[in-house]
Amino acid sequence: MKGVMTPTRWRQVDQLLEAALELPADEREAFLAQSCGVDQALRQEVLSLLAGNEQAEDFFEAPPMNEVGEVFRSAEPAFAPGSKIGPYRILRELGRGGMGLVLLAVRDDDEYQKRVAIKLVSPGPLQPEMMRRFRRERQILADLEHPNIARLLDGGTTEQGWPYVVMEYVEGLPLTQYCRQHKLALTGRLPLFLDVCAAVQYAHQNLIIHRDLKPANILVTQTGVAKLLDFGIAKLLEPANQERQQMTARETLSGVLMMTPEYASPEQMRGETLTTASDVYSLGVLLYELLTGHLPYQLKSRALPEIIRAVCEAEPQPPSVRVVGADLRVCPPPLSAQPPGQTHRSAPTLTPILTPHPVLPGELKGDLDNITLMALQKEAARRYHTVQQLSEDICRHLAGELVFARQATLGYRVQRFVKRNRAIVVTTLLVLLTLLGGIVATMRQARLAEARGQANRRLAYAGQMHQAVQAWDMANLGQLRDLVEGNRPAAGEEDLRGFEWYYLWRLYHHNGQRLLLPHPIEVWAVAYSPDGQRVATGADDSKLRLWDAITGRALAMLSGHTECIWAVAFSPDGQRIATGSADRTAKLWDVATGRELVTFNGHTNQVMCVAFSPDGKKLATGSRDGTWKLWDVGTGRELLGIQATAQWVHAVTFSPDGRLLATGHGAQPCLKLWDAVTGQELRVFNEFPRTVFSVAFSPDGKSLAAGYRDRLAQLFEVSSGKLLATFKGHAGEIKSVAFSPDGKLLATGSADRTVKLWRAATGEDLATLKGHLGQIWSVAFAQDGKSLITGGDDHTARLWDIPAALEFTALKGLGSVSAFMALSPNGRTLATQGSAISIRLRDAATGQELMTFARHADFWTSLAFSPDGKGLVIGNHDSTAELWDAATGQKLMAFKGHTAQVNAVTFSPDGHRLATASSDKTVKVWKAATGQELLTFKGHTNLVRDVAFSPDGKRLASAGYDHVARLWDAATGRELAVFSGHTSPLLALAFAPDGKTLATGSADNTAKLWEVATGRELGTFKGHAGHVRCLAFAPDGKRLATGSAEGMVRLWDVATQQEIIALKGHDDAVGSVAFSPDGQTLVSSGADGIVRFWRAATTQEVAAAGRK
Amino acid sequence: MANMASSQSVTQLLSAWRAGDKAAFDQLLPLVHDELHRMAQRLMSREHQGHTWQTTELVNEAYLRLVGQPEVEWQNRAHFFAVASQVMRHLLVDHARARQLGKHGGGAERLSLDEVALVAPDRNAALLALDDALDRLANFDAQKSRIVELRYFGGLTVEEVAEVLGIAAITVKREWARAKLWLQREMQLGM
Repeated sequence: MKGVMTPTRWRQVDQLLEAALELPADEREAFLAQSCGVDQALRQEVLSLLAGNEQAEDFFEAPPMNEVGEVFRSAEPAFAPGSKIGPYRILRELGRGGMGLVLLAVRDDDEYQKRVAIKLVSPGPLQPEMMRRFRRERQILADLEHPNIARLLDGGTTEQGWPYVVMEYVEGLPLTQYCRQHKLALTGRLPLFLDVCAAVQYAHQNLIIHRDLKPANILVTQTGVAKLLDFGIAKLLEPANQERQQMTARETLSGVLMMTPEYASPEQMRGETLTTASDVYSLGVLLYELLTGHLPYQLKSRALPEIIRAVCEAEPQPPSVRVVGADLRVCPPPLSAQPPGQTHRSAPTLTPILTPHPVLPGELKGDLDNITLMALQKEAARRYHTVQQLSEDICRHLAGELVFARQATLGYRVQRFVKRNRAIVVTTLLVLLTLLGGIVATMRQARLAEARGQANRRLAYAGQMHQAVQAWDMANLGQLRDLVEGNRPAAGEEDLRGFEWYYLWRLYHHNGQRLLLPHPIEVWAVAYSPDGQRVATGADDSKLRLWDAITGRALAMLSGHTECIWAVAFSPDGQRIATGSADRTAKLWDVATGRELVTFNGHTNQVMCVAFSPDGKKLATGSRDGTWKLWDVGTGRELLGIQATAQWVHAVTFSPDGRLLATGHGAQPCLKLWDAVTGQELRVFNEFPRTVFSVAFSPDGKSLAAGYRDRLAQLFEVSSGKLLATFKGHAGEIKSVAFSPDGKLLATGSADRTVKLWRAATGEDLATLKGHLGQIWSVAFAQDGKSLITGGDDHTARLWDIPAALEFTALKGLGSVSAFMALSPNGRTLATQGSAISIRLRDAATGQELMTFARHADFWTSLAFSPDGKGLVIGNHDSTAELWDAATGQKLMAFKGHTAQVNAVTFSPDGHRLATASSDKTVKVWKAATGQELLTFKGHTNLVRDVAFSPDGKRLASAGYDHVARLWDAATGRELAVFSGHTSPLLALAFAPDGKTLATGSADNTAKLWEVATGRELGTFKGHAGHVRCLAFAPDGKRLATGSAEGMVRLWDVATQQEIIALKGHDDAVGSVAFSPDGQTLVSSGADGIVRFWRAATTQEVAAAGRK
Repeated sequence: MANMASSQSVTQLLSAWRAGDKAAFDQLLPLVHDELHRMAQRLMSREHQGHTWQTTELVNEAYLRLVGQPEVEWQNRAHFFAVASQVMRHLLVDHARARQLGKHGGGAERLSLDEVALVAPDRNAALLALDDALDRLANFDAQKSRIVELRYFGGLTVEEVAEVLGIAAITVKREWARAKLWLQREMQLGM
């Protein structure tokens, strides 16, 4: 029957088949027997068709996958097993793509025979974009070292000219498959997810967004460690304002296609500028899949438009609901393709396995639902602002604490419901109105909706302030500006701004930048003329530009080089400029006329660096050909050519006396000292295989600084080679180093978009200059040391005011005996510890020391200024308190009466009385002038940790280890109220400026807000991960600052108890926080011995800038 | 690159075909073929080896490049996919044939690990068998053959197939089911 099928015969067969398929399986035989009658062939034909099996079904349901790519693969030279790439012997091919392949290899000279994955890219001439991407991935990976990220081990170029990277070979299963295979319960899944969060967060800290988070890119090893791979489309965070790329639909789509759309965020789908929030979303999808075994969307097909619609519009079901619905279903096949080579994968199973999902709805309902949905918010601003917040919330859930996601998503959903269903809401209200006949109810409803809208705005504001802090941390000034400017209140809107806004505004506006010199292209090199009047820049367009250093006016643009300029230097007399170029030459220019004077020809590869000898007669150059050469400036004759390294020479410089020359290169040893006359190698500086990008002699010639690609710089003694200091703090490679002319400062320009100023002698980090929107490639000081020029790949050179950049913002090295400080009422004087027993007064504006109280007493515990600032009261360990004259340093009075350590001291607002809190469980009030004990307040059942007068001086509040705060009548000692609600000892308290509310900080890691009149708890400030040890209200009463044992200072919206920003500035517990009386400075002191001044702009400053 | 002229003409051709102009299909075919070829090369050239391109994604992007307006007329999109399905079938089958030849001819063993994993070794053979069976099916039931081509090679949904062929979705579903039964027997799958 096969083979000779006619349309007519087939119609017969087909009709019977159709009818039979409609019937239950067990009735089909009988039906056919009856219908076919004697035509046994017909019956046989239909029966054989009905016998079709499931495996074939599989064939049709799996669309042709790999073939699509395979069709277009071009023939590539194979890297055969057994052959070698560098020191690696190839074992086999792991996978390939159109432009490259991945090999499994082993390092032959490695005794451990560790296996590695080598990723190669074909160097086709058509693929510059591709090569750029590859280089970038290599660079990105080189910067990442994390237990949950597959490590980059090596890189290079094969003999055939294929660039390659060597990666840690991860043998494992994709995350979701691993969970399925091991039938992991929730408790096994969440820790793996937290691993992934840690890796992503680490990448974010390094300014890298992964952009392609999906199970296939996360392998779990046999030992159960999750490893993140494939940074192929990761990117460095880009400033949001860089010509906010207007992407075409096409580019958007190709962008989307490059990642796996199911895991892409809505903004990614729309082709918008991405932030770390996009990775948060992808993590949300991943979490959803881990919890439910399904994607958050129910997709009918994998058609892109449908996925886009689902991602951008469909509200995901809560995971707990999804699990219920899915429980009875067949487990879906793995959703996504896997990276080649990184996994051994079995052929797809042909029959689906019926596995009940091991996570139960009950485990998900509530917290995990909320957490997942919060990460999956369509609007980036409504998600967790950082991966850390997401992982912290999961930790909170695991610890049984309240999660942050609860409030945020609930309020939002209510708001959205009202927004979407306004008509319904209105109708409902009208019905209510007629039914109840009461207008009051409607009014209340309307007010409620209004209040919700208001709450929503506050939530959004807090989110954006949080992001602004993040933007600043990542030196993303464009985004910072947008977030700050975007939150000026519109006409008629309530002004939600507080301290944080003015603080962030000032960060943006007072960053020390004086001038910006715009270029059409990347700036690779900058130099200051010796007289400080001009600066020169070398750019990627091969042009040398001259600028007026005072006004920023462009003076000249000189052409001559045929490739980009890598290096620029002024001659010591300022009349000549030397340039080094990728066109393999160096050139000499006349500054006055702009004429090209000499071309130095001889290098066989790009000239990366140039330096004049101090007498201006010789020029040194370094090249990618591995040599440095010395030239006669006058004649252009080559005097010396020395092979310094097998790799590139990145940097060359003369010692100030001209007798020595230092070079920095790309391979070990990477820093060498030479005799500048004979070319003899004198010293090798560094034993580490680091790449040196830049070198600089100190002005006295005694030390030599080198900037490395691995994010640090070092200072060596020239005579001995001894390491003097290490400069650590940049988040990206250091491209350029420069000494200030007085030798006190070292400036480093980094790929992390910042310049840092360091105390050269000690390595102390003095200031960070932020403003560049891209990597900084070159830095140079002016001769007066007051100005610095930087050039970067953000197409700008910038001039910075060094004194402004060095603005006093922190006191360091105070020791860690006590974390306490006190700010005088006028905000001008700061009292900090001198030693364990002495107190030191300092000028709060400059940090300058004013006076040290020479005390001979026991350890002190607490400090407070009198309201007129003339007196300072000190609480002591020996159960006494003392009053000192802040002007003369004389001790005026001692207050004796407590029987245990005094923990806190404070003045009454009128300055006449003094209150002390003691470990003897009492509070005492004293007459300040005479030292007479007036009252003792008894009631606490444990030690009293803090005490405060109400602003009117009539009441007194105390915070105790007995978990409560107590309110007292300051005149009679009568107890008025007990504020009970904390679950751990109270550590601090403060009255709001209006005296109506009171805030308390506790060892339960929260602060609480209380109504003074009623003793009612108004709300809880949740977010600290350590004891809340101190707190202070801003003078406007809108903000509360809290300091905690985890080293964070957090700022809260008092009205909503919502956290607004977190300030990271201490490595140890924060012991005191205080606002200056004008509300412009927040001071925090920590057990790390640091006092920080967080300065905000004044409204006048902001207004003045607005008028400009 | 798809320029304005070609993107307009593709839209016009699609509309013409939908309106019943059979010649429009023949004009579309080479356009779509070239674009798919270019697209696939471009996609494969990306440094993104972890991703395997599915037919649907590829065709989707080709459509967007040639027509440029997502979602304006989904009927046009469906018709475009219909053209593409035929192109994809040719490309895939040609390739499978080449690989089969290469294998038996003692050519370099080019199967990498992930290929072996992703594509069952006999998948090439299956693809060739399907192609052959589809041709035979077309001889006595052209509609089923076309449905399979659209569904399997073009990645069209049932609804899209219904739109392209001008029949009811339920019919597509049933025809698809029966076509599969016949094909799998003919291809002797799973035996």
